[in-house]
Amino acid sequence: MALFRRKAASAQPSDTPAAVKELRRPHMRRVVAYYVRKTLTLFSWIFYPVGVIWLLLLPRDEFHHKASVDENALLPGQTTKYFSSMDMYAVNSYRLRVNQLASQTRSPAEYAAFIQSELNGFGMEASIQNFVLATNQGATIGANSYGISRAARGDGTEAIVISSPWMDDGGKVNADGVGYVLAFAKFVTKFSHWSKDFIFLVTHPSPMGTRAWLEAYHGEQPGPNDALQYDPLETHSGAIQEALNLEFGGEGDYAAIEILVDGLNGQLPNADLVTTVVNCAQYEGIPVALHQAVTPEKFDSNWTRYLHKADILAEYMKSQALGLPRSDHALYAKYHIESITLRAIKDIPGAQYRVSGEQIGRAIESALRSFNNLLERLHHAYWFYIMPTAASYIPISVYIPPVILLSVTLVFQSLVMWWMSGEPGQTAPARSQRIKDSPYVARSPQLSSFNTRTRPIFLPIVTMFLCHATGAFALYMSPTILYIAQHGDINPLNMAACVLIVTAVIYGFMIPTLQRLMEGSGASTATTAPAWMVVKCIACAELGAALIALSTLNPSLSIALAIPSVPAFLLAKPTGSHNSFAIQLIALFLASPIGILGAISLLTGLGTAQDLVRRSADGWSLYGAWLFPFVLLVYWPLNLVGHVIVGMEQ
Amino acid sequence: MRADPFTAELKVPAARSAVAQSLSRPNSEDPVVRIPVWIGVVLRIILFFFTNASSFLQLRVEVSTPVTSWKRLREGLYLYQNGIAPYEGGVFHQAPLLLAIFNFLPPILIPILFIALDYAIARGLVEIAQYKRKLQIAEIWPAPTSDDSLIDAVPVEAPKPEIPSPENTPADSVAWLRKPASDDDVLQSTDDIPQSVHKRKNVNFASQEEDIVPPWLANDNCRLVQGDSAHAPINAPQLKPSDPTQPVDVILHPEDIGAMYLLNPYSIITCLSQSTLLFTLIAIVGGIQYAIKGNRNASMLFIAVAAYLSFYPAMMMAPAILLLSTQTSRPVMQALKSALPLFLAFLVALLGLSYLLVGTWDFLPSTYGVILSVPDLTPNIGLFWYFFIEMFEQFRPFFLCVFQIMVFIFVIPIALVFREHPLFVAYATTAIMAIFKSYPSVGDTALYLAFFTMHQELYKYMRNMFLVFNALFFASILGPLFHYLWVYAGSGNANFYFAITLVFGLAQIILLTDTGHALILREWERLHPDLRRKRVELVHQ
Amino acid sequence: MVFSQGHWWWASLLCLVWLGQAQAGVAITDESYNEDLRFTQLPDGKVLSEFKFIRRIGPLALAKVRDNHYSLLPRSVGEIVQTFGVEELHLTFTQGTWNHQKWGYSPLGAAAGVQLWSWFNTSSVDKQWKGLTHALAGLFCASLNQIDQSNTAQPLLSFLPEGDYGEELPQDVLELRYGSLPHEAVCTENLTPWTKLLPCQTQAGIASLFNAYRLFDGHYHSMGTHIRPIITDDAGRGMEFVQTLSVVLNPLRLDNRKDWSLSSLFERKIASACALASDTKVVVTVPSHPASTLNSPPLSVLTDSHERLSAHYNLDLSTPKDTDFGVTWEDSKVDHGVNRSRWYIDAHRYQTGYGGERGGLAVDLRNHHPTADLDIIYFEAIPWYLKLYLHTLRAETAADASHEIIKDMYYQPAIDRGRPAVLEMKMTLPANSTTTLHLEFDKAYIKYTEHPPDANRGFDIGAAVITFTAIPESPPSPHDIPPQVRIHTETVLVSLPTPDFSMPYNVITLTCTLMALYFGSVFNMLTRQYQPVIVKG
Repeated sequence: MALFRRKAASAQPSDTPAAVKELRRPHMRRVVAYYVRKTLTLFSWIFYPVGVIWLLLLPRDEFHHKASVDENALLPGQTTKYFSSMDMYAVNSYRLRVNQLASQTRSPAEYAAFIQSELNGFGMEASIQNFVLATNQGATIGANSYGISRAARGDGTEAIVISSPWMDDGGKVNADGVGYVLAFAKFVTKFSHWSKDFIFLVTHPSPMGTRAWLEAYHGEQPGPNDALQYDPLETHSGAIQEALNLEFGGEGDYAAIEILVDGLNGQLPNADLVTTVVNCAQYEGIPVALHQAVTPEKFDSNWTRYLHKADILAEYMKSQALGLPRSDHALYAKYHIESITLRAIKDIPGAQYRVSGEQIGRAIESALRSFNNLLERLHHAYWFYIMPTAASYIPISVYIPPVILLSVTLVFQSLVMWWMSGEPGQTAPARSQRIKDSPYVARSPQLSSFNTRTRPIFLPIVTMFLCHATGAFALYMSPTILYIAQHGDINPLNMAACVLIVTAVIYGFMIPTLQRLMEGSGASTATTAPAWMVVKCIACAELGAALIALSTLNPSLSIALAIPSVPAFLLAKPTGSHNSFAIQLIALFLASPIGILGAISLLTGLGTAQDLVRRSADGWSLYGAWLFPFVLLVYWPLNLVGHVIVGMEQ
Repeated sequence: MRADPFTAELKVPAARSAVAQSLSRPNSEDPVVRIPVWIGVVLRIILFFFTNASSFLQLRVEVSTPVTSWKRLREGLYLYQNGIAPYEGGVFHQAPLLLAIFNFLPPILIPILFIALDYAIARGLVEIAQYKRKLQIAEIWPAPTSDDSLIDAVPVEAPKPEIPSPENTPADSVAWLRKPASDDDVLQSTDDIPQSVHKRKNVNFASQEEDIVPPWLANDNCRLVQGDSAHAPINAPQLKPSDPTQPVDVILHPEDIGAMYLLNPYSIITCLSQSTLLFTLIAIVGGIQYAIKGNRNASMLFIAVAAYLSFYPAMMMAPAILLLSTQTSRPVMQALKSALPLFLAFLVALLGLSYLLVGTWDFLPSTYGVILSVPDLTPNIGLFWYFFIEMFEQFRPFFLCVFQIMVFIFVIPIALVFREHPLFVAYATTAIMAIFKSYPSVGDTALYLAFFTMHQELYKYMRNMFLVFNALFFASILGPLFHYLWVYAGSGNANFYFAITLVFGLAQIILLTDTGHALILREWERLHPDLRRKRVELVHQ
Repeated sequence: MVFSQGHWWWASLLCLVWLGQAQAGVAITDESYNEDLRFTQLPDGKVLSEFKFIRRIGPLALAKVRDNHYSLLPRSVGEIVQTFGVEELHLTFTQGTWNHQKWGYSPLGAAAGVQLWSWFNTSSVDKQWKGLTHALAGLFCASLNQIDQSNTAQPLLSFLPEGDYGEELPQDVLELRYGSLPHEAVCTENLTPWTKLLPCQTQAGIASLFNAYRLFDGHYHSMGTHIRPIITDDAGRGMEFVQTLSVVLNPLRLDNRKDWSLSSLFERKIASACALASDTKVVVTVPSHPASTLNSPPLSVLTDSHERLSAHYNLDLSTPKDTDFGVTWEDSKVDHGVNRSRWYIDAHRYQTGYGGERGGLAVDLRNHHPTADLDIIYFEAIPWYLKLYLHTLRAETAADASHEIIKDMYYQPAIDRGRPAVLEMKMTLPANSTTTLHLEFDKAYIKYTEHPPDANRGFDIGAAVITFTAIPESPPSPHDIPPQVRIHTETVLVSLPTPDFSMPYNVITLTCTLMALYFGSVFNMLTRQYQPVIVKG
């Protein structure tokens, strides 16, 4: 404040102080406003590094909270378990029979028939759902089998799903998982303390089977020309509250249990569900892994601890940012069903002992008992968290500030652009002078409301519209592109690459030229702001808003997109010098989807990037993952706008 | 303070009409300027018939409220056609005559009807904008009295930050110097115009000259640089882009207003959602439009229909009566006296018709009763729903009264203060309705934004444009998102969406007051030429 | 049709017994009391036990009752009936859902939770109904008083009077009220007052088997209280007061065997017959299977058309104490299959859609009869906070619907916070087909005070009732068929979007702040005047 005062005094020409006495407050207001504005104009980029540094600090333990259960009714691990070696024997025998059956036949119908007959044997209402998935690779025929065990006491209004895919995504038969499902189907019928129905579900192939089953369960009917066609279900239970998905692709010799939490589009289950499962497992002495890593009790140094947790966090954010279904549990989130996948890990470094089957069984049982205790849906704990280890989390209050800081930089940038396009180059406001021999006081010239420049609207609108139209068209064309890529065995990545690069070039150079033709150039005249400022103002505002909005759905994706694109947009402006032109283009290219893919392929090889493209495209067409359309409809068009800005006139 | 403006304005109406007739003729027949409007129409047709956007939007809380939802109308229609009293239940809250309309309409025509409605609204707005354009052109900036007792406070050699390149400035100056000789009808028509209006000739040429170039170029002000002869740019070697003592105004393009409405996403989704709000909107627009034409009966009929459909538009009486009084040049009270009975008569007639249709007065509590006492708390972009979900039962009636009074309380004062600017009154009332009615939807916002774009001359006086429109933008993105998090994903709670509705309302309130201040400031500067010229410091009290 | 031949058989036999009793009763006093207990082992090994306590009060006794002389009829019941002008009353407390697919049809089946319907012979029915619900709430320690106008319905077709009224058509003079509490938890505190109404309470008679621990450990548990007028042979309106309790217990759960006996099921035995009971019957019905042996020798053994063995016992005071009935099996094979042949109509209702904004109800109505199209009456009372869209109602069937499926429809739209939406339809189900009804609704956003304490659980939508009359060929003795057969669908749990319960004050203050801001700034705008700064001197 004092500084402003001094500056203001210096800016004041020699004049009678009497003239300004009445105007001290408005003058101070103007001065403060001026300096705030100047500071923002110069230093708004500072939020970006701050956000990045904050992100880098997240793996430190100070930011982690010990996971605790908020819902008092859960009482994880407090019940007496009845899962005994008898039931374990059932698991093993079923595993053998499943393996045997899988070796004999390949038809899903027979698998389903086997499951159904078993479930019927336990006195359940079991039935089979057939479905067909027609893709451009051909038709896939599948069958789900499920059985409902009515709770002895309940009125059948709530249900818990215990599911397992017949095969895990590695194509290996999930014999042990199916074994556990069947064993539990037999197990639950022995007790009358269940107050919720149980639905035992075996899907094949999965996760498509899970999608078919869930949609049918919620009464949806496939449209006549949908890729996925499925039968309606014969019987239903009540509202599904929780779902537990089991993937044990082994022979019962495991070192740890891995939990998979993040679902489609990175939607997370309620934290209480995760905490309950983890507590129940740890209560049984099972080491719980997250992203294939079990966090040891003690580290030899803080640095290794940091590295370990940073590694897990990176993995976590990667999978959340992609938002593609990693296992069956991913698809339940859409229906507001809290779900989690338990996946057994064969061996992890530093595992002292193996986990016995009874331990796993008892862990699952006590988790089921906890869910059974619930009187309401899980609603006490939150849904927004990031997990550095299986037993701790980073709450939204800690991780959201850096995410917002990253993207809010763009909002400030757009504000700066607004100012610059409005009244350019302001100097510190001079004190108003009293007009000679008159009682009036004259405003300083900058403050006139008459000399604001008007902002060209048409050119920016056309630019934004064209870029977004390209994105929409690309989205519309994407199936064809992939089809061509698969059948003319062209590498889809290269194909996408050339398409994107070509369009980027077109937009970088043709649109500005077009604009010059149609518009007499969007250059600034005496009374109009240069068009590029307005374009950048709109583009920054839109991208900033999109990223901020995204941070509530999928913070990881927001971060992953903000980190490359924010600097590119801060830099982007028409320039004369070739160096800065090249730098801007490179930055924009690195921020473009194809640039990111290129970076990935440089780091992890071309295969990963290709796989990524195909999986995200399939994720959109098959499961409705938002990553693909978001990039094509919002992110990439804005990147093109960036190119346009670089190419426009000053 | 407010005395002298009126003395200065006394001879305005005659001048206005004269200049107006002569000025805005060529504008209406220009094929190019209609392109955006037709883009809007084609866009609607495509979205209606080639996508399922309509069926999706019909269910969105932002566009279809309990009193305008298309699904509920269909339910009411179904009950009505099957002989069940539609107003007995708690689902259908819309005016009976709507049933009559859709009872006989074949389904294929329904999308056509809604597109036609939207197009008609746009045309109505265009006509209103043509009137606004006339006002703008005929606006009188009294010339400064030529006493140089006050020496100019603006040092002439104080250069603007970027000096326009010398090659385009002379072009401009020559451009407008050449013109006065070339046009004569204005010279005839400006006989009765006071001395101070003569400078308006330039505007006239400017307007005609920029009419032959495509409309978007109208934003480029170097083509309509105006200055009065007192400040001839020849003797000023470095010409400022505009005379510092007079704002550079973009002459309004009526077709642009139509385009602004039809291309506004809010109005697009409202049309696609087949919300019956469109009937209200077209009635409001029609009321204003016929008031401008001076057609009292038609305007009263339209406003009565609007009030009959959704109650609140009754307050559109204020701008309509102001317009009637200016157009028919009769005092306001007289216009009111002659218009009010008409309005009431039409209203009673409509109610009687609906009684004949449904055969019972049940529809009164089920439509207006619902609008007033807000029993259906379905979320919308307004302020009522969450407030009355969380309200304690015993205070509910009290706050209902307070909120409903809030809607109407400022209509009369605004009409009085801005009686010189009936279109601004129309803008303010529609805005207040859109913010504070019990079941608002983005359709209302779209309407008053169209009125807002008519007042382009105020933009440069406004302080919070960026804030307001960013807030609206953020609210439009985050609103559906938080609604999804609350209602579908279940990961967020109701406060998320409520916060967004607050932001939306706040932004609109700021926009309203900001515009009002801008208008008042501009009026002051227009009516005080000398002090304006000196750019003296102002205080307000 | 829809239920087992065996039951028919026993219904007819029982009725003969009743008639005999009635004649005897008139001779001595015109009050009589019977106890009747039957065990049926279901194909999947579970044991259904049905207790019936029948009191028939003749006109004379009724006259006495009016001057407050009570003998067999409990005073509390008598007073309720008189005070509120109740002509007929049916109240059931049920826990769990009756599994039609496996267990066939049960005459004692009822909707989950509490179901109450009553015919009134009085004016100002609504007031009486309110009083009745409150009185019954007090009598049975249940929250019946929550049945208020907003969830009371008046079905037209589904709940016809069941008493015999002679020639007059009761629908013309009487008025019906129907209400249900689907989420009422039934437990011992309801059982105890219910048993208090029995003449011998739980001291003697078949009621001495009531062991709450075991009764409520079953898969299905329903206890009913039914009052209906009867006409005894001398002209005069009598009254029948029947208490029923049916429970399904599962002997296999303990040790994987089908064997059961009173002591294994109830951990009790019948102490002795109730002295007041003029007749106490026990019937044991098992699938006739060589591998089964009855624990105690019956009076008589019959085999019905479905090859089911039924053994009869008669209890009286001379019966030795702790006699134990039961069946022992050599093997423990059970049949979990769905046996379609024993009944025809099956209904299955579930919720469609997801998200807190809107949803739908779908009902699968299956007609398993190979040839005959069956007429049913579908009744549904949906609370107001589900805003039904009747124009979305559609019936789909796989069979070629030569005729209209929905014959006739009666719909009463809901009033917010006033009354439920009532939908009653006459339908004809094509033979051997599945008809699916679809109906959409919007979920209302209700005030935070209207949410129950467990708001995030959701709201239970009471069972729909499907009513139909037996088709003639199936029952051997048609004159005993209950005039209407009812089956009930599942309860559906609908979760409504919840506001935030923790911060009404914040919402109120924030919104009011915005209002104040609007008022202040617009007021400022309207009163603002600009003036040049005047510097003095």
